[in-house]
Parts: sequence; C-alpha cells; structure tokens
Amino acid sequence: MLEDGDGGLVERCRAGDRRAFETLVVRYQRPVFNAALRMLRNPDDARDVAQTVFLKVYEHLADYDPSYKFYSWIYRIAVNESINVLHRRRRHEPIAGDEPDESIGPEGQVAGQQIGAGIQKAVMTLKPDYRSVIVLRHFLDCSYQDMAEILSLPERTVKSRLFAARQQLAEALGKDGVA
Amino acid sequence: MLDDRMLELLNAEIDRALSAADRAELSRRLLSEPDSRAARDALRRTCAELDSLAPAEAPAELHERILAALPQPRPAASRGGQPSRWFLSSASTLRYAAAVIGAVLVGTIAFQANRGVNGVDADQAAGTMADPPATVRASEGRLRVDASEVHGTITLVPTGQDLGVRFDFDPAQPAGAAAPAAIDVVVTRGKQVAHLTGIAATQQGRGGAMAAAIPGAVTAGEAVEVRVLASGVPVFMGRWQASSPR
Repeated sequence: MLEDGDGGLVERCRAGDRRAFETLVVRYQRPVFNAALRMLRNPDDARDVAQTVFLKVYEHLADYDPSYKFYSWIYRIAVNESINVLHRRRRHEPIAGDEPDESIGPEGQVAGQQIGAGIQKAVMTLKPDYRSVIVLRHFLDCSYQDMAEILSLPERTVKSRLFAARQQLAEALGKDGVA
Repeated sequence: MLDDRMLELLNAEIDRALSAADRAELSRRLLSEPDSRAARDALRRTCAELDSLAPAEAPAELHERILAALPQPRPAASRGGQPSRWFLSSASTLRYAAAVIGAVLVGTIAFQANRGVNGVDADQAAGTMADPPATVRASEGRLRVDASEVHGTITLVPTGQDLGVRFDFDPAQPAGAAAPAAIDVVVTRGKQVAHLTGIAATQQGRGGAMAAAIPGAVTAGEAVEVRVLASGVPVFMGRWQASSPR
C-alpha cells in the first residue's frame, strides 16, 4: 500500500488533497507533540508548537525535498520550533521560563512516578542542543543516521553530543539521588 | 573521569551498536576499572529511565485545531498557474534592487522629516490623500527574524510603483546554531511571489543583505506574507499589512 506511505501522502497533499494531510496529522501529531513536550515540559507550549509545526509543513510542502525522509523533515521543524520557544523564554523570562513545571506534564498525571519526574527535570537542565539529541534518540526512537539528517550534523557529532548529554543526565540524577 | 574511548564503548553498548571486538575490549576494561563500572551502571540506569517514560497522548483538540488553522485553498495563480517569481541572480538585478531600495529609503527619510514638522503620521497622511484603493506612500514595515538558525531584519518599503523588500541578516548568528546551507526569503503578495535567494553558509558570518522589488503600487490594507527558510526548512513566518486610510 504505497499510497499510505508518507511519500504518497505528501504527493496527494501537493495535489490539493486535504484528507491526505489529515492522515499525516493523525500519524505525526503524537510524536511531534511529545518531542515538543520533552523539549519544553509545558503542555500548552507543546500544543502550540505542534500546531505551528503542522501549519509550517502544510505551507511548505512545495519546499519539501522527497530525497529526505518525511519524518526527518517534520521532526526537524519540531525541534527547531521548540528551540525557538526556548530562546524566546530566555529573552522574556530569564531563568524562570525554563524551569520545569511541577504542576503539569504527563508523568505528573500518574501518581507515584517520582523517577519519571526526576528524569524529566534532569532533561530540562540540559542545553537545547543536548536536549534535542536526547529527545530524538529516547523519545522518538531515532537512529544516529536519522538524528544526523534531522539536525544537519555529521553522525560523529551527533554521537558525541548524545554521549555527553547522557553523561550530564547521569550526573544530574546522581546529584538528585535518583539514579 | 571516563576517557573518550570508554564513553564511546559504554554508549555503543546501550545503543546495541557494539562489535564483537568492541565488546571484548569493554569487558576487559570493565574488569580492571572500577570507575568505569560505576559510570556504566549510572549511564544504564539513566537510559533505562529515559526509555521508561511513557509517551504522552496529544491533546484531544489538537487535531481539530490544526485542521481549523489551515489556510483555505487559494485560487490558481496567473501565468498558467505558476506564481510570478523574481530571482536575484544577476548583478544587474541586484543593482536595480539596490537602486530602488536606496531611492525608497531616501524618500522615507524625507517623509519622516516632513512628518516631524507637520505632526502628521503616515496613516493619516495616506488616509487624507487618496480614495480607496489608496496607495501607501511611505509607510515602511519591519519584521524581526529571531529563529534558531537565522537572525536578521526584513524591511518592506512601498513606493508609488512597487514594494521593495530587503533582508539584512545579522553578522553574528546564534551561538551554537548550525549554519544552514542557504537562507531563502519568500515574499507573497497576492498572487505574486518573490524569492530572495542565494545566501550561502560561508556568507553568514559576515552578515549581508538580499533585496528585491515587487512591481505594482501597494494599496492600503494590502497584506504581505514573509517566510524565511533555512536549508529548505521554514524557520520564520511573518505578516505585514500596509497602512489603511482613516
């Protein structure tokens, strides 16, 4: 069923088929929302980012290069858009804007998951470059090669960032007594 | 403190990317390095916790919000369905655009000086001098681009004959941001689409500008949409509306 593949759906979108775009939304709204949520830890911001991502995808389908995987393209937009929000937070709300929101978040909805809250809090201590590779690898299950494509970086750089990010996380969790 | 090789081996083990030779090397070193064993335990616990976090469900209303926000399909553009385009690829075109922008800026400065004397703002001036569809004389628009990969300012300058568009990108791009291979600015004005292209990664460290002029007098209330793409990926969208007469 090639038509159900991302490439076929994109082609149909380009031909003006809105239902094909709706299928892409259904397929990718969860990972895009999760990527933004793990980057920002605020569900409202994550929802807004997800909406913006899909609007940008829709507006720029003509610019999409089919030689790249569609999910690489949409995840890249999601990561970039989340980083834009982080930059805006830093400008408008120094320090406080990037603090984890203890009142909300997926792990906050389930009682007794203190470890989950601890790891998410630790992720928020990472700088955006490191946070991006953690989100792509552990929450979106991207390979090194996928991450390299999404971030437009050599695979070696991606690995080095991922390894350093994991080590920082381990140290942060160790200090908090979680790991 | 882990050395780079040990860090690589431990992470490769977590990612199930160890070769047989690497596995043997890792086993050998772990036997003789207690610090590496402790680091390995901490890393594995950390990654197990990351992987154990359940994905969140997208908000129920997200799907509807996205679909409701989609722009309505636009009628086909003129010229056989293809939008008009102006590419600044030749030196003569660049000179023309620079001349137009320069002339407009001079006009704008003169207008601003006049405004200071008379105490009349641009909107009022436009509104009192023309009947709809009014052309906008010198109401310049600026859009600030602060995306993760690109920083700069887009200036839109209406003249009596056309709309000048200029993108000045900052010499210093965001620290740590990967320089995109190319920056493209797409300006949509009704059925007309202008592409400002050609900033290569090597230019970005020095800053610079791209400019174009879209023919046709700007009418009051006319909206212009500006998009910036970094290596083909949209990083900024902005909208400018010409002043309406009052």
